[in-house]
Amino acid sequence: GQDQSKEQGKQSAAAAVIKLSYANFPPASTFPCIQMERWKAEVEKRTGGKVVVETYPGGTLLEAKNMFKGVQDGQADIGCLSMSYQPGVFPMTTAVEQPLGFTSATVASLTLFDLFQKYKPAEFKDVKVLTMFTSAPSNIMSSVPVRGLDDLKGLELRASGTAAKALGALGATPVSMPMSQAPEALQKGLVKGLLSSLEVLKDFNFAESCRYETITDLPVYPFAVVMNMAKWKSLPADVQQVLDGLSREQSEWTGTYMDGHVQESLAWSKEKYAIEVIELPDATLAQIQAQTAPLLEEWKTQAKAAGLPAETILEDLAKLKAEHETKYGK
Amino acid sequence: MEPLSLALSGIAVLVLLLLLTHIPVGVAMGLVGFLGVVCLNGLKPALGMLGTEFWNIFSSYGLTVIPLFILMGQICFYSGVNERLYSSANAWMGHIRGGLAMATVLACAGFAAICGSNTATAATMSTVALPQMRKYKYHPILSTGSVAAGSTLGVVIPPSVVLIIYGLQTSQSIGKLFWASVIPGLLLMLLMLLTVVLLCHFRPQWGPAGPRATLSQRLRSLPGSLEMIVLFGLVMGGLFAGIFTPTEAGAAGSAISLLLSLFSGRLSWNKFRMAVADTLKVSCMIMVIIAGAVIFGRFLAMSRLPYAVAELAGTSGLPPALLLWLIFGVYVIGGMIMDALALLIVTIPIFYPAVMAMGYDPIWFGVAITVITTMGAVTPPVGVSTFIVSSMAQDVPMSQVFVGVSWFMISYVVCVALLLIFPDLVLWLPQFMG
Amino acid sequence: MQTLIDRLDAWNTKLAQALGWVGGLALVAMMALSCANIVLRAVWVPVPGAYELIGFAGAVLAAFSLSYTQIHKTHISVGILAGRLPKILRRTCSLAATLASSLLFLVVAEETFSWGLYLERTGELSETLIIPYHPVVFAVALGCLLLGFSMFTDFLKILSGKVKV
Ligand code: NA
Ligand code: NA
Repeated sequence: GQDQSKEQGKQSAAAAVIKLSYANFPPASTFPCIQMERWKAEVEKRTGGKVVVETYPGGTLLEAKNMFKGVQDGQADIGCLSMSYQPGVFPMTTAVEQPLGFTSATVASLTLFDLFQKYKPAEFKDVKVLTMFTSAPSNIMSSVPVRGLDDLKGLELRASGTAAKALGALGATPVSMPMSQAPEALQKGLVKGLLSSLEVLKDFNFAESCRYETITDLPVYPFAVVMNMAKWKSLPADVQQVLDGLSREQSEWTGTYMDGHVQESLAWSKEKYAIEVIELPDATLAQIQAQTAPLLEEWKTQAKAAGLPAETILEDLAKLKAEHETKYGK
Repeated sequence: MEPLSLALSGIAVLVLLLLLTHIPVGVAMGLVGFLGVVCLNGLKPALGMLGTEFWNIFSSYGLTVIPLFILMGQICFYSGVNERLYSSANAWMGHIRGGLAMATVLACAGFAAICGSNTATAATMSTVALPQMRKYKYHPILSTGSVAAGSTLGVVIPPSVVLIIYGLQTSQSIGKLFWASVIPGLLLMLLMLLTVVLLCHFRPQWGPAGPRATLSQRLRSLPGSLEMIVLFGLVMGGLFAGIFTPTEAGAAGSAISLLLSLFSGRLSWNKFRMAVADTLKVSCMIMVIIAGAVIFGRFLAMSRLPYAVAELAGTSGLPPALLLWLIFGVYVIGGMIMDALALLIVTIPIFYPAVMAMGYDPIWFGVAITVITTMGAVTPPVGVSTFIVSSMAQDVPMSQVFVGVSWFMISYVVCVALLLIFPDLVLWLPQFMG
Repeated sequence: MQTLIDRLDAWNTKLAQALGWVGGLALVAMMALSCANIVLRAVWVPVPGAYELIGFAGAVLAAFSLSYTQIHKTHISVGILAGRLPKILRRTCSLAATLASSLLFLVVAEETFSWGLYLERTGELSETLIIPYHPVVFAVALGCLLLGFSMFTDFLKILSGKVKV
């Protein structure tokens, strides 16, 4: 009799378990997937095993470009997407990806998250947003030293999206190519470097070909973790509460992890390949800010066309950025 | 039905469908994959998948390497470059038994050194080598077998799409991976040559020896192979000097071969049109197979079958050497039913940490599983290279191509064994790279 | 019935060849663009968005040669055991498989078309050139539609006994 009731208990527990599939596009070792595994562990812990998250890194379920639609269609319950892969689709949140001089992922992530919470823009109306975060600021990694804007003239660097536009504004030659082609192109000298956040020095071993890293604090890339709306509505209230309670914390955790990981990547690259980190003088940084200003104007035009209060958004963004910089340091 | 048993039934249905009907392979994989996702996840997600995957695959820049390299081969083929090359090879090697099959393996290796995928190598070398071997009365088992097996050198000899993906997923140096696979690639080539020699020793009628050419005939045949060597040299040189990427190398190769054949007056407008038409058909057929494999792979991933198999191997507490063999076994079986790239993408995140924890070298493991999954491109029931070769050799039944390939499989087994016994075959060369 | 099938078949061939021509042009364009990129990069600057445009050309190439490949029977199949089935079963299997394939590609066409509409609605632009690219998605849908139509013609040909299996 006891065995039987135990068996029944097991069955009802098994029936109560909610399985959520979580799709991600970059390889498992990259930070969007690291934060995914952390989120999975926290959710499973905080719901006491009521929710089981099955993760799919490396584009096994959905790729970067069909992540958003795939989640809406229910190919995955949850998906991690990068807004930069779909220009035009996210007129509001791409404010964060403009060259605004973010120096840390923590500040940029929380700024993005708080800005989203305040405006709840229509671009995400068809999904439930679980969290948002950003990459660390983009910097130049190159095989030849870049010590000033003159060194940048005509230099061929791999970059995509806003980063490519920023490079163009600075006089460099942005080369857009799939990330998968970048390592070979670098080794063969087809491009002289790339513009991206510095963790790729270690994660993709770019330190091997790019021994010079110039700190430019160019755009961060915004990410959103979204859930299928019907699936969200089907969740019991207590589970919804756990997920909501985790959303800002996850944003902060990811930013902090990202910043730490960049430092670790730099230390590793210094030790393994004796890379040189080049800090630009303030005057040059100001010049970069000035030369990339047209990008911001472009964003404003697009945001206004989408019916968004562009100026107010930027003011709020600056305020949030300053607030978080006071708390977390620049 | 449980996801896992659904996945196993899906594989069974696919195999039956392929064996019992003449439904195109890519279409069958797409069909079963689609129905599987409907059962697992519902109709809407499955429809959404169909709507985006075909676009994703067809518009992928990385895959454009396929039509461009095929075009290069087709232009060479229609302007007769290959025929002259083979006459030349015949003059030098034709008096040896199996000489043309050996020349095929060597040409595959040469082509592999400028091409990152085995499907492109299979398609191009089939058009080049099969008509020649038919002309010289080679047995289909030997001719199709040597092309299908030789074509797999495409991903073992650098550059290689599979190694690039492995490098990106595990943050290993792609340069080191490329260097590491040079010796295993050459070793595999030598073993395949040895296979030809042995086959022809025991079955002399399979690769008949031709008449011995005189020295002056041989010398006069040399210019025939010169064009191909110049083309290979320019494409390879440009690639290694960093003038272009692999895809661009395909385009440059097509353009150079077009110019060469126009100047020599060997390519008419009509032949050029035929070259383009053939390129369209072959690359479209490959793209449909890739699309089908990706959709079927999505179904398997959703069922978590690959993860379950991997976890079973990863958490059993068996001795490392045995576990490594088990993991290799998974790759052998997986390679039989799945596209090598899809298989690696699904399994590396699970196996890689386990293998590292057992103390194996990451570069060595990468090259070893590349060799193993590549073997899957010729094994039944889903051997992409074999399918391509048999479609090009329309008078040869698929079963005979598989028989031919099985003989060459022995060289794969020997190669993997040698890599296991002497890891330095992989690790010796990359150590000179800083 | 026979004349209807013949007429469908003639249309099918004509359309497949017309689209095949466009596919061929896409292939030549891909080659030319790649070479232009190599040369211009060496002497001046790379063609902006060359990789993206080559990807789009590749999409047109693959989609527009789908039915061309089908009418020339180049899509490969296995069918090792098909010959061992009794005739009636073989015919049934073949009919079912051809109809299912045809339906699959009609659905792919419809879904790809609605993916294009979705891109148009959300205003998604290409990554590098920042241009709308949903027309290329529509082109892929058209190619899939024609393949579905070709396969349906094949189904009718087997059904009417015009093609023996
Ligand atoms: Na290769
Ligand atoms: Na196989």
